[in-house]
Amino acid sequence: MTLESETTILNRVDGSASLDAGETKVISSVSGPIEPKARQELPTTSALEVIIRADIGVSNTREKLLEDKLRAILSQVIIGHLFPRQLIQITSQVLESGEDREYTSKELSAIVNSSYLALIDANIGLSVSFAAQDIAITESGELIAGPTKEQLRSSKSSHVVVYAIENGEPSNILFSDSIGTFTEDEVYRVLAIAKQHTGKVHQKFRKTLQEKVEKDFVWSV
Amino acid sequence: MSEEFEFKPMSFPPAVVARISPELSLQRHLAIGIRPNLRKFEEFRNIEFNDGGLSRYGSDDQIKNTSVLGSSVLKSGNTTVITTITAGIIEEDLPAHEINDDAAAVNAVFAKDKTDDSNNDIPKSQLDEYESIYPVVEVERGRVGAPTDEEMILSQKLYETFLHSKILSKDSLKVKVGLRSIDSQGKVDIYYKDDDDDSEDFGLGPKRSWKFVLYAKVKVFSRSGPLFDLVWASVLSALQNTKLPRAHIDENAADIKIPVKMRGNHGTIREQYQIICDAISRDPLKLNNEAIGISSNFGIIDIDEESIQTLQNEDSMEIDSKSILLTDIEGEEEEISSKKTISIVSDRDSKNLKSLTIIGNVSNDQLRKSFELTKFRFKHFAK
Repeated sequence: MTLESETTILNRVDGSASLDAGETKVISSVSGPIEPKARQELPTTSALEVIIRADIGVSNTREKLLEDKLRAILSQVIIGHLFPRQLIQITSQVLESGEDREYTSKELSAIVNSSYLALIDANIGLSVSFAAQDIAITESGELIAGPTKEQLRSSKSSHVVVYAIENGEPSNILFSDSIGTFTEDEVYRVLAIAKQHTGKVHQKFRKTLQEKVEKDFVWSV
Repeated sequence: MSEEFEFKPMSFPPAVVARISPELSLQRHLAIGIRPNLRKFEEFRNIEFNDGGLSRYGSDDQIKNTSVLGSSVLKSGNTTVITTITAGIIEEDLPAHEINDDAAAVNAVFAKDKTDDSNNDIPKSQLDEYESIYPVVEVERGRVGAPTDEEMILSQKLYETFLHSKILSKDSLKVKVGLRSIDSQGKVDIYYKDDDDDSEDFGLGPKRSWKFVLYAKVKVFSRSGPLFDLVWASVLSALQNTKLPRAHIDENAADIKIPVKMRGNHGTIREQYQIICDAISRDPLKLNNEAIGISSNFGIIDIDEESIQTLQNEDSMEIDSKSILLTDIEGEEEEISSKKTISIVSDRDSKNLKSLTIIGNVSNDQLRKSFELTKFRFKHFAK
């Protein structure tokens, strides 16, 4: 599976990243900490606004559900008390979904991964690194990490798993979402496979981040 | 002379503490072995439901004057969920070669390069054979306005889970169109083709097909915790008593072609079919019963050291681990404090899972425990 990423691609936001995961392409941006609307303001922690834009047409309830999932992940990792009474706004624009409308796993994993890079680009404090992996289970029970559009179409279930990364290694699970028809044993297998793959995804991100640091610092070490 | 001050600790009734410091309130409750709602840690709320008598086709043979085709009234704790199912009929898009017998001949003249689109190589999707319903969830809060995020998310989650659960096949939503005819004596008859009837179509000319689309309107009163489980149970029970009306076409209108003149001399022909739903005859909606299961949610609360210490002297219940698995989250304290949650939708025999969402650092043991509880609950639910 190809995975290419780049940071600081937009210049009017605090942080941004693009992610190209084969058929799926996403751009994410982060603005923050900025001043929130009065109703968003929280006295002890930062407010989080998550916006996901669809590749075709206007966003609807499909994107709202994705926003809810992304928020569940990000609210665990962003250190909110660093920015009390302030707002962190994350916008993800899907450029190519790479999957049918009925599925969201490929988009969600790309959105989570690009948000991670964009948050780092924006210097938002994170308690832990994280990486996502999408997995499909075929009719014969075979697990495919990063399925293609066709493989997803003929799969019996689709999964997205996000692991926290500590010291470069996946440590514990942050989020997992599965839909379709699958067994309990398959869930444990999915979680185990996802743990290996999120580690690899993170290794690729380290290279991206190394390039970012080299680019950002004007002096050479 | 110095005045003496006496400091009195402020105290609040439990309901106020629950509001101003939900996490503290929950921790203190759990430390003494109970939940704020007085349930046990692994106790589900009872769910009661009936059809509510809202449907057009009640249990008696009387037909009500309503367009509701299926309904359910569900009660669990203080929460009431009312679901009504309505339907519409749409004409399906069919490829040209299926509608017109002469499509191949026309293509041979006007679109020589066009290959036959009936056998292309796009792999069929597993979901192609299945349909979903279109749900609208409303959580009553005493105000009106645009749908809240929660309502939109619930509706969408219902839609996606229903589709991927493969409960409703495309076939069961097909409208089997009957024909209304008047014989020479002026007697009106409506013919319906039965499932086992292999006879030819009624000669409706070009092949057309229609299908039902199902809408579910879900109203929630007195919300007291995450709603997906209740809404899921309510929609499924409403669908189980849903009956679809039979529909027919008038013989006179069966094969009418109306010439329509458009700009200049290009004449096109518009066919007109008026589908009329039968007032009385109906068929039960066929569902894939094996795929229908229950939805359960769990929250995991880490007990803080302080809570254990403050109550160590008292004769409190032994708490063997530092985190507690709570089933069926209810109330503001539990909902706010549950940073780790598991949500499971299983099928009828709890053999397969249909949907699973894990948020937070949930261990495999906790996951295993919640699967067990789901199976255990299902045994009781089946009774």
